[in-house]
Amino acid sequence: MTRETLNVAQTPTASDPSSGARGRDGSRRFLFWLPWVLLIATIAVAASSSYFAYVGATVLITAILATTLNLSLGFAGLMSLGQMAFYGIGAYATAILTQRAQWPYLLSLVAGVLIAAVIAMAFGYVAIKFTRGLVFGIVSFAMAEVVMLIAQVWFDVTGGPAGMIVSFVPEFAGWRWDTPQTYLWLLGAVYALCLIGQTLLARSGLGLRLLAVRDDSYLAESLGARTFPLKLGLFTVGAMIAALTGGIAAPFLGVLTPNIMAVTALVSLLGIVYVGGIGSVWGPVVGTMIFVLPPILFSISAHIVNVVLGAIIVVIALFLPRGLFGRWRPEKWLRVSDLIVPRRVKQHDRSAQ
Amino acid sequence: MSTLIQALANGVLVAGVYGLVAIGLSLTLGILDSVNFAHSQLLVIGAFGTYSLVTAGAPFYVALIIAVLVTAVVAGLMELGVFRWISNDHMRAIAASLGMILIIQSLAEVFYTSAPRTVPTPWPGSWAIGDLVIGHQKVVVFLIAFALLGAFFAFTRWTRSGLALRAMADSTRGSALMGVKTKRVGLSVFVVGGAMAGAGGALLLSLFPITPAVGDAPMMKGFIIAILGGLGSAPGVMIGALILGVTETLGATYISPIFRDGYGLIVLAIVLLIRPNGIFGLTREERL
Repeated sequence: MTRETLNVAQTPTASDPSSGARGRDGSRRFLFWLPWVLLIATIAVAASSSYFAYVGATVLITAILATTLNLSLGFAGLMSLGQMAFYGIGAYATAILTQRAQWPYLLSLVAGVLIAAVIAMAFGYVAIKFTRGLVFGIVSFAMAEVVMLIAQVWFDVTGGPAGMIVSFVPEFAGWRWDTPQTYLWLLGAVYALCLIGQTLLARSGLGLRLLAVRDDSYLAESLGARTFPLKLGLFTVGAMIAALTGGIAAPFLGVLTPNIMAVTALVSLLGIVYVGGIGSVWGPVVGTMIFVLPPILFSISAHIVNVVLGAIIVVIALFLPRGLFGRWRPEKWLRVSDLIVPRRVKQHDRSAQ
Repeated sequence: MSTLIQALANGVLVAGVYGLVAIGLSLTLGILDSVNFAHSQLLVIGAFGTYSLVTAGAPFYVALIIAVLVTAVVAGLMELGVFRWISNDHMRAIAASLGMILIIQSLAEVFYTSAPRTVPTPWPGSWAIGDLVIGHQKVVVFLIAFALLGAFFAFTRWTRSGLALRAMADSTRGSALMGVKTKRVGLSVFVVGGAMAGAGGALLLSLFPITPAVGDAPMMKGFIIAILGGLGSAPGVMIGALILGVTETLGATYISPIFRDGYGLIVLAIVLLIRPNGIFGLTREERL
């Protein structure tokens, strides 16, 4: 974990214009943008057919949820095992308010996000204050389980274990969200915002403070980082993103069952984040593709796929403990200022000084 | 009134199997500080091993003993192959155990499908005391489970190896310096915990139909019990199992049966707020 911090501290020096050759800068720039190009190209290709758009949107939902888990796990060091509960809260709240209370869709979406935020704040305030590490994980898992059970028991509102059918189609000024392509682009936009936010976070002072908090909470606190608000804030933001995704996913899925919050969802999320690399920006989406795509695209028995996935996770845990993108972190290879001012100009400025 | 007594009796009786699952979790977590979510899959192995042997014609209790031995070996292999190398990092251990859950559960699905399986109850029938009805096999399961837990408690309390175990729970490094073979103790903790979980699976099979997902619910309950009672504490596990069993059955009887799995979580949350290290837990800050 100390290595991680060192890595962050070293990167600016490594990418400092005065030390690096220009060719290396170019390849850094190339590799920084490569995942973005791939992501956008993939989405554009997937949008060509409804089936691929459907698959793509499914992958994006999981990828966003994995990213929110990654925010808690990789930046705040909170083992937040209840992420899918916020997704469920967002989805159910949006669907129930739109369908049963006849609110406009956008208003219910915002309400769903706010409800998730309030629950995350209230739960997080108590749980982060009193527990840490694995116990926090189990308490947050317990929270998620209780939310799922409420969705099962509150029959009149949620439709109970059989779930509820979401029959409305969101529509704004003639733009109907009725094709998988629409959802693909919407979720793609949400995911892109998550990625930008995380990339900035990974390189900002706030991100460094968070890393310090994650690696050694007591030490960070003694050095003046206010750990509690940082953790609570990140936890709440993650919950809000998950709820937003849920709210968008509700009309896309068409049917909501309490199972979207079940343990199996959590297991695959954790696996995805771990295989991708905890704390990495590009890990979750790659992990998601490894986990979600094979059973959809190939006609192999899901159980055989699971055995292989299980073996992959064990091997990675044993031999590559920081995941696929643990060490290789393209998002750290350019500074935020490099993105705004072209490097050559800046170099020129420096030599002029 | 008779409903209350029946609910209490059912709660106490169901606690035995929960306790058998929880003891292994409590030990690995409390003593070795390694998180083994795949512990629940040992229960699956125990249950399906017994099922295969019984359908092949073996008497139930012979099948149980063989299945327990097999489970113990598998648990030992888990420790030797995986957890020995990664137990210093919770996240790695969690990831590895998720991988093993996927492997074992999917293999069980492949070989046994997800259809529920049963074996003939070894001792059918029930006692009726007034309005109270208690199945014979439930009592047997309860007695076997608590006998195993009690034996383990006696072992940790009154033998030298048990002393080594308790010393390791206090400080692994300290006990290694005092000559405790910590690696060997670690292995034996996994083997004993695995054997208990295997027995739990076999006993579960004698009461209920099983599917490859049979480990999922006891897993969560095992964690709740282990944390309720305080990690690494054998009496804590027994008390925790009783509390959980009774709370669940009372809640299911009087409030709502669908919410059954939720009552334990609420009790856990309350206990953690009052005693963050569990009822019998050590008061050390950095235990978790």
